[in-house]
Amino acid sequence: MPSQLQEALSASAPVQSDRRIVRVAIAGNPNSGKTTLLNQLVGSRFAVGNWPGVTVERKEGVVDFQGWRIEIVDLPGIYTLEPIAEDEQIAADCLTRERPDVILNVIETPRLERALTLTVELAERGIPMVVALNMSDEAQRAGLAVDCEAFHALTGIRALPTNGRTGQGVRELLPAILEAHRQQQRPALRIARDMLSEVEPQSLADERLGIAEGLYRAVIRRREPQGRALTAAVDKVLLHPVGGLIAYLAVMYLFFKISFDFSAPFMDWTDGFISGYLGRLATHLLGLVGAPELVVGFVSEAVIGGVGFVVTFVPLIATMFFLLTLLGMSGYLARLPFLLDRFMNWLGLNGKAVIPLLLGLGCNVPAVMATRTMESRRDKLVLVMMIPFMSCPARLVVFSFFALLFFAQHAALVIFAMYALGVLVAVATSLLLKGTLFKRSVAPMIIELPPYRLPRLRTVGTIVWSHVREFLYRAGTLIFAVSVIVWALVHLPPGAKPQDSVVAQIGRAVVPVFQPLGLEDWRVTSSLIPAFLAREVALGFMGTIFAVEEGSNTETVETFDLVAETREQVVGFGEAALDGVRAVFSLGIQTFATEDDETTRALREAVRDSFTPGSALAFMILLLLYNSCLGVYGVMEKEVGRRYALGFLGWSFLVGWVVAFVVYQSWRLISGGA
Amino acid sequence: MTLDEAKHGQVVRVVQTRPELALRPKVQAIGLRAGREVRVMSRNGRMLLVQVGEARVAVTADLARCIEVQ
Repeated sequence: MPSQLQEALSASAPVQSDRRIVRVAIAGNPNSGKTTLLNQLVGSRFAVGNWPGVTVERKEGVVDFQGWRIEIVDLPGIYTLEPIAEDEQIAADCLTRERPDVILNVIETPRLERALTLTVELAERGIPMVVALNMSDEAQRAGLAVDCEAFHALTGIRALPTNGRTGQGVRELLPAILEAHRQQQRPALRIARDMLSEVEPQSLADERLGIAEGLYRAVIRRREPQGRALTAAVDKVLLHPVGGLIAYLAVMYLFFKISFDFSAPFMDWTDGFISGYLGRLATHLLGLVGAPELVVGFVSEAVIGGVGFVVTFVPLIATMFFLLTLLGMSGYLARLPFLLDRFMNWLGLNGKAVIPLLLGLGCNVPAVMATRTMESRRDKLVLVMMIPFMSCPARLVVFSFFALLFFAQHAALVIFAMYALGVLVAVATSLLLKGTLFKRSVAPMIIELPPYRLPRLRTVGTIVWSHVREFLYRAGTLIFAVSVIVWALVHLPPGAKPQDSVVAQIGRAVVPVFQPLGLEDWRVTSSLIPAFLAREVALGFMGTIFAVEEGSNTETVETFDLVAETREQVVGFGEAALDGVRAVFSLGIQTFATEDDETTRALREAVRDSFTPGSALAFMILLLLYNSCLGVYGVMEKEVGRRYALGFLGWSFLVGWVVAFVVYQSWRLISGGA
Repeated sequence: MTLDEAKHGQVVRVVQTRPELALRPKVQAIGLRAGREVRVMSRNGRMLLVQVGEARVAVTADLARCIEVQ
């Protein structure tokens, strides 16, 4: 933690004024654009969104400015320094216990009146402060202007208009922060009695509210608003008790349709590009330099077979995150607690729980962390136990592969069934907890709905890229490592056939556990073990084993016309883009209705031989329900403790096994033993 | 009366937020406090959507019952 280190260093510094470090804490109401400002100030790429609770932990960044090292910590949003939820506690602790050198109070200018309550409370701390009047463009459109001079005169705090989205005014914050620190400009409220609220204060909190109201009246200047009240008009439809639900279902349908249909041609292209182009190019080059067969085998089996197989799914993951980010940044996600509260009540939770659950569709790890916004510990626990059942793109990678292979005509239906099963088990888990361990009434809720905002494509792109990079990073490290280990183990002991290798022995040892689910092949059962690290590893694992068994890939490619083959790839990409756009505008969900690439066809055939449709379903169900991955287990342990995390692990395995068993056995009965 | 009894479209003024309300500091900071005008925009089950100043706020009925209005 750099700030703690700097604290230690500064404590031993002989002269306080010689210190060239400023520790700045960003504080403000939820969804006021604090993280966007931090990103602008230090060039970081932390995730931002348009719903309260995007930031649930402290985030730090450093910028060097005029010979000073400015350390900035971004905090979760708060309304007061009297915290209730866990994320609010983190912010309040930093501001009251750690005492930063300067507080940068970020204010959502269109909602200045509400924000000033916190400003007054922060000012009481006696720490030098600077105010960023953020979203100044929106305030302008709403016909609001702030008299910064009057604000400074009444509070002793410098206020600067900023626009976090465009970066306008952000650079001016740094000189102001330095000045506040160097001159130790502590806030000094000079609000006259006659400016205060008319309501007689009953407590210190009332007095603060009165000061904030008086201050607001003294600094606000109203003008004619520009444009129409778009948010109110859109809300009339999207928050309508009936129309809103129909719109929600339409949004979710489009979310999946576009995710699948737009990405399918790109996935097909990537598959061909990796195995048909890169794979052949690599083998061709290795053949030219006379590489030994073992090296050629390693590249085609471990690298192309294992890692390349998984990378094929990048277009799907990118499309899904793109849409999820759009939903978050537009302000729609923030409205779902209002819309779906009734349904969540039935599960024993309040509407707020909907946001972490939906985030789970992107990745379970941040979703589990997002439960910090829940005000009651009981709600948080229930929610954490539900989230891992929400299927993420890593699991979708496995589903889409198997669904296409075994249920080509009904692939979309099978994938939908998997998602629905995940939701059902999450609901069942919640109802079970509501009726047993956590009997209590639903917690009350208050949330602010942000205005609808047009997401900036660049910001969306940055967020999507950070997710894709994470996936590629995992493919390049974790999946690569697993592929190499598997590849080595399949070749051990030296000279042994794959079916006599170490992997085969491990796989056979766990067969009795999975046999009742129809999973009897050691290549399949052994892949379930590394799948605990990350779901898509199972595919990489099988890809490697089957590639080794196939053995034919070690043949060198004699002729490889680089120019012609590259041109073919470029043209293919263009066609994929056209197909993707066309598919989005078609009716129904097409889902990967694409032909197999010649090189991976053998691999798919080999997988097909190891499963029946029934056991393929059982395999998918197991990967859906048995805890999502190591990352999720880690974050669960951190959020709710080892006892609950281990409890969940046991529960999810039990549920996964039982459901897979029932589905497999039923399938066998119906299809007559297949 | 309390805020949960206010009708769709009605504009009311907050008299007080009851001290027993656990979320009171937050509720007041968001703007639901004595002297403020509140307009009921929409209802959905136990949820109430209200406009307070420039902010649109969603509250549950049990919480709205702790806010006295006139």
